[in-house]
This record gives sequence, structure tokens and C-alpha cells, in this order.
Amino acid sequence: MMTNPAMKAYAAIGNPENTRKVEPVEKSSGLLSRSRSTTPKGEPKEKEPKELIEDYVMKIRAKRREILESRQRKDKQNG
Amino acid sequence: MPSEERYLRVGNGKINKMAEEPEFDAPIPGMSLTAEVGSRPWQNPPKFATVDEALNHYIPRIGSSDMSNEMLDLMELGIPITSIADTIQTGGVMQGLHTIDVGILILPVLMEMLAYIAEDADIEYDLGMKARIDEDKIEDGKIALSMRKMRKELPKVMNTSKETVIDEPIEEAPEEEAAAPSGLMSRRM
Repeated sequence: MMTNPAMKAYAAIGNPENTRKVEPVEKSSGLLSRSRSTTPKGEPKEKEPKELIEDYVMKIRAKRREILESRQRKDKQNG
Repeated sequence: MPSEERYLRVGNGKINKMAEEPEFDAPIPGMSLTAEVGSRPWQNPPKFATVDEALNHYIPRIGSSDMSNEMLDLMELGIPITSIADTIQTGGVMQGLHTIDVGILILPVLMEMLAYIAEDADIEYDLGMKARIDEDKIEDGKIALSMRKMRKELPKVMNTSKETVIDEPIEEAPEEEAAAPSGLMSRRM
């Protein structure tokens, strides 16, 4: 039974790397045509708080992974 | 906790999972009215209104050598990261730094940050995401199931025991004679 709010919040984030939707880039067919993704759509949208948190979590996890990988490399070198 | 999660379905009935754990440290009714409204930090507008602002306050602090050493000591002692992060954000709410909503939102980042510090210092830590099972404590559901089985088994046991019992005439207890009323105002029978 999860009673600690931190447990619930952390479980709710899950793996944002897997759950994030990647918008498909539409390829333009004409020589002078612009793809839709490159056209400016006015002001950039503000991120939702959950997206912000996911970004932070992904960045810190990437750093953690780097630490672990460097440590494993050192262990292998030392034998 | 959602209402469905709070109850355990057993047969046609429900059992309250929380029934065994009464909370005596809860605030008493009317406790919030004992101080003037707005006198507490959390009753005023928060210092950091957004997630970004709150994280800009916490991340450098957690990364600082003083606080990180304290955190590492706690993690080495075996205190789960979930508890540490929750304590940090609750403290922030009590100081009026941010709202509870922002506090809950930033919890995963605080946890990741603490885990990062621990990994950087090569310290074993407990993230606190595994639910601990107390082997000595029997769950309500198990008790209810065994009671149900007992109820099913009980008539069979009763029938077999009735057959073995020898019918003996039961002596009736002698009726006690009612004491005659002796008061002045008592009625005569």
C-alpha cells in the first residue's frame, strides 16, 4: 500500500523516455515548400508542469547513467 | 486514497483496510481556528509559485556540500529517499515557500537529485519504492477469508459433534422464590 506521496508521485512519472510522444516530421515534397514543423506557429507553448518535471527527471537520469557507466568502465579497466 | 483502494472485497462485503490503523495524531476538529487567519506561513501566498521557481530554490541547496553531506548521512543510515524528499517538501510548505501542489509535483525531481548525489558519492541507498511487508502482521483479507472458511466448516463440525454427544436430560434449575415485599407501601399479593 503506497502511503507516502513521494512514492505515488515517483510512480506516476514512470519512464518519460518511453512514454513521450515524438511528433512525426512531415517531409515536404516540393522544392520550395516548407515543412510544417519548421514554420513558426506564433509564440511557443508553455510546458505543462508534468512535462517540465519529466524533462528534469530525464536530464538527471541521464547524468546518473553517465556516472554508472563511467564506474563500470573503471571497474573493467581495473579488472 | 481512492475509496475502492481503501476497501478490500470479501464475498459480498467490504473490509476497511485502514480499520486496524487508527490515527491518533490527526488534528482535532477546530484546531485550524485556534490561530488568526493568515498568521501561518502556509496561509499566505507562497514565495515560489511555479515548479521552476521551487526547483531553482531546492536544486542548488541539495547540491551544496553542507546539505548533501547531511543527506548522504541519512541515506547511509538506510532512510528511504522517498521519506527524505517528502520531509524536504513538507518543510517547504510549512515555511510558506511553495504550495502543497507544487511540493507534490517536484517530489520526483528531488528524489532523482538525491539518488544522483548518492550515486556520485558511491553510497548504497534505498529509493523506498518497494512496499515493505510485515510478516508478523496478518492482513485483514486473510483473516476474513479464514473466517469465511470457518463459517462453512462450522456446521459440519457441529453436526458431527452433535452425533457423539449423548442425550442427557438437563436438570432444570430450581426457581428462586421471589422475596415477599416488606416495605410499608408495598402491595399485598
